[in-house]
Amino acid sequence: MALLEVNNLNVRFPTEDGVVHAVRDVSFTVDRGEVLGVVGESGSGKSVTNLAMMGLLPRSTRIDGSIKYNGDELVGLPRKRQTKYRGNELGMIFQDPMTSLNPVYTIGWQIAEAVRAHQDVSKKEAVGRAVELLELVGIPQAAKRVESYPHEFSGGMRQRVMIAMSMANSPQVLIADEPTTALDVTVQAQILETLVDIQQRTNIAIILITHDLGVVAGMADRVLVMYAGAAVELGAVDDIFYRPRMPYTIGLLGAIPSEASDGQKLRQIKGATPSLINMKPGCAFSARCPLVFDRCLTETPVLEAVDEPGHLSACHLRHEIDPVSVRSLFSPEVIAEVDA
Amino acid sequence: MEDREFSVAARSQRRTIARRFLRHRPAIVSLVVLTAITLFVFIFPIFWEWPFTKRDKTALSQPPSWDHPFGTDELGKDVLGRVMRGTQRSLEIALIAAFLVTIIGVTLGAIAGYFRGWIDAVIMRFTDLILTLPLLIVVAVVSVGYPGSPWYTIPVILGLFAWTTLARIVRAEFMSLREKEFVEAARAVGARDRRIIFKHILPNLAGPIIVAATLSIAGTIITETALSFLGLGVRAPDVSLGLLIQESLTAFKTRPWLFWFPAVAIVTVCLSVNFIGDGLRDAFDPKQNRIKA
Amino acid sequence: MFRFVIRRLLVVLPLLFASSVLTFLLVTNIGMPKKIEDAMARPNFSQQQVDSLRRQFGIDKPPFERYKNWVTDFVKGDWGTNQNGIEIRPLLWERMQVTVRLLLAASIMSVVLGVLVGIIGAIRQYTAFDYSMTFFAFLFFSIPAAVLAGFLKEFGAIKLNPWLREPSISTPIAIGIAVFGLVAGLLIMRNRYKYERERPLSKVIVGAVAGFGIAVGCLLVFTLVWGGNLYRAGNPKPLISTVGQTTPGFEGTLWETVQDYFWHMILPTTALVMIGFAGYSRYMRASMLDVMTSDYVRTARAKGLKERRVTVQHGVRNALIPLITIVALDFGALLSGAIITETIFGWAGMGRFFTEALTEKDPRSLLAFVMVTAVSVVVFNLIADIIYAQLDPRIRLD
Repeated sequence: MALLEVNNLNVRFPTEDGVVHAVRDVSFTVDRGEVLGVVGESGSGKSVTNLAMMGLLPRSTRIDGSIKYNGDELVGLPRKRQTKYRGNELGMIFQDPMTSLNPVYTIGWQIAEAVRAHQDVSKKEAVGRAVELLELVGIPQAAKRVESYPHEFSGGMRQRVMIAMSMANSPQVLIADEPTTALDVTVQAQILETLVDIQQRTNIAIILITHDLGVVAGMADRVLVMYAGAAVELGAVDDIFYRPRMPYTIGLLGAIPSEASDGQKLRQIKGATPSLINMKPGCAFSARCPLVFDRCLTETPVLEAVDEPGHLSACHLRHEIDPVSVRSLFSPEVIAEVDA
Repeated sequence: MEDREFSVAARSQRRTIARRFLRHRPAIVSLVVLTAITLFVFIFPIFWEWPFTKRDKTALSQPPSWDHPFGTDELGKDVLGRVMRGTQRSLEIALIAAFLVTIIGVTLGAIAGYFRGWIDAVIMRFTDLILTLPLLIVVAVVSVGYPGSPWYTIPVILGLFAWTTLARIVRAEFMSLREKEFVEAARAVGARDRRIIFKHILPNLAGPIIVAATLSIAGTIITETALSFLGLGVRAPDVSLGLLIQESLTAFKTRPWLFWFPAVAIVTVCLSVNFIGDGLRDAFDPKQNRIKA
Repeated sequence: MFRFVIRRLLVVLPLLFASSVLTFLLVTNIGMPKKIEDAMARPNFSQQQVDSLRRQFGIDKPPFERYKNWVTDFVKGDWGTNQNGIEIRPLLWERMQVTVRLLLAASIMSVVLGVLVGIIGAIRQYTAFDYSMTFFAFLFFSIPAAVLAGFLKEFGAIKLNPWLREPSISTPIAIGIAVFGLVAGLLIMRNRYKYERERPLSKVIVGAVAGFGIAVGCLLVFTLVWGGNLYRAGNPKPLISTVGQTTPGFEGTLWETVQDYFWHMILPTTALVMIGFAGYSRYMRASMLDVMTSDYVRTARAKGLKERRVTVQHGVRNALIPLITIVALDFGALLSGAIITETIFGWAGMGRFFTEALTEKDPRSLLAFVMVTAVSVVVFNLIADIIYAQLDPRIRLD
């Protein structure tokens, strides 16, 4: 049995302009000790999916489907019982470490609070645990630094504190929501290293949410690609990078500069993600897809298996697609052309 | 090309704001009520046979009747005529004061926030200085020095001392906006300070400024009432809502209609203005966007 | 900490100096004291009389010298005499005690009330409670102090006193109160489970019954306890007073004096509390909404803390910080409200001191009054700064 099992997850937000269908029929699993990368542009539902697992969405959100942790159903759980999983079985770190820590309490206090939320230990023991955790994430002079306030730390250091805090109760799953996006490039690498290090030491499962394919390539075992609230491709990291079977994934890969694409033009996906209010039937990507044909406009494709084991794609043409020729169908980016 | 894109974005943003405002029901109701009251008090007196100074010697201290819908005071003056005139005056005072507050507050706040340095220091210390004295007390002391002066000195004095809050808001916004990329860009292409202030930064502040200006209208009416209560507001034979309240407080028990009509007029006007301000704030600042339950 | 206070004082002292100049200019601008105007209006006035009066009011010298004398005397504590020859400092001191009693009670109550309502309004956003409190806040915002006080006088005292003397609740009203309790309990419980998938009917019923029970209980307690109140039985006067801060010549035990104070304070305090509550509740609600949607509150939830702990330790704690400044800044407005309220309820406080000085155009009294308010405003802001620095570690203390 998988550690985390998401089945037909649907998330809807009521807003002034209508109901936003932010996550549509998403299903995937996470195994013990694996790193799952979740990629997609902003608004693709990747964060919302994970916030739903944590039970951190606003109360008015409608969540349907099933999220099973170790066989326990999390959807529809009363708020009070959700706190048993949150921070204890599932830890989470966020995008912006500058605002994610409470400015008025010391680091030690905040980590100790997380410890004491789930473990029956004294304050002193909890602070001792906080020091251990800070050492684990590589903060020098941890015993002294527990007395510091968040504003006395740099962005990278604060993200380490966040990681330490999320690890306070040795959770089985760590959800990292764009953990490096708000940081300097040099610091990004250090934070990712810390995550890798922790993953190897504790064998925790990590869900790494990002729009940076480079980060995913380096860390993930498997990748879930999301578009407009739906899962459009899921597979081992090599399958996704070398044998993508969904035009959106191909377009996404074409938009990153890398050594492999040296000498080639960068490609961009024209257009913007569709509105998630009153979505039309058919494939959500059809408006931007170079391979669009009449079936795409009427029938919504679902995730279905392609050749490799565990590789799924939501495209009517998943068996016929040739990544290289599809890539050239996306329009070349102007800047790249000038450079070439 | 870039210009056109900008104007399209601006127009659609304006439409979003208008739509959000229209959805704020209390604000819309208030807008209708306030417009109706304003039109009524400025137009109806032309046709009304009892102007605020005319005495009906056959009807002294009469409760509301068909001839005098709001009753009459002890001199036989028609309360409806007086309330209409008082509302007119109070609205005029409020508008002049709000106008002055906006002009002074925005100018000083913009200069302080944009140029910073010693100009900022001088303006902000001056603001602190004004803030050491409560508004009502300053305005009362100043008003004593101008006995028998025409009504429009009151909003002028109010305006001269009430701009501090707005100046602080504008300054803070300017401080953060002047560091933004689009200002940097404007400066890089050689735009002058004046152009940056008026064309690039101020339009972004329309929201907070309009809201503050609206709310200061209600604030002025309240302060004017307090001033009139101290005998320093509009002076007889002219009337304002505050003066009507002051005159009628002692007659509350015997001739309640003298108190009730101006009181209801003040509260209705201020409540409407405050709700409109709230609606505008919601419309301009979607941060606290409401999610329907 | 000590250095922080010193540094703030170094800012405050020049500010007070500038404030004294402004005060002096404003007061000089008001012209002749009324006494001199009256003297000059008399047909047989002599220049000599006027000169001696000018000397009496201390306005016989050129402005600069007058300012110098005033400031030095003021700092020394010699504030001079008013138009009736009464020493200003003891008089103002006495009046201040009366006003401070009112302001203190009103501030504490309006802050507590405003904060509580603001918190509940924010965490139960867009519920019946939130909407009705929002409406009341706007309503109180829109009522001038004079109207509010006149209103309270009529309905809070003149109409209420006879009823308080012979309290009786008619059956329809008693039933109405009980039904209100039932509906309130029902709504509160329904609200609580608004977003949960299952709405346990039993809990809603329990809530409604509890609300009903509380309402009936209050009615019973009221009839039993109030019916036998001794102070009321032994005191022939109307209970809620509309004039003055104490009963003139009242002597009694400490307990009776406290009751006497209480019945006099109740209306003016209510008026000020309503005015203050409006602002604080709106501000606290906005601040709380801001904090509760912040990233660090999301972090606190992600830690698996109970919602109550998230709300109190992370929500309220942080939302209170900006309120400190607002309360301090509002002191001036509250004082202005107190001036009006005191005048209407006939209190001999700072309000009366000020209005008397204004009508007499007595320069020394006005100077003393305005300067005292300026000093208190500055002191309040200083205290607020210190509390702020205590609550927010980002403001460095040294």
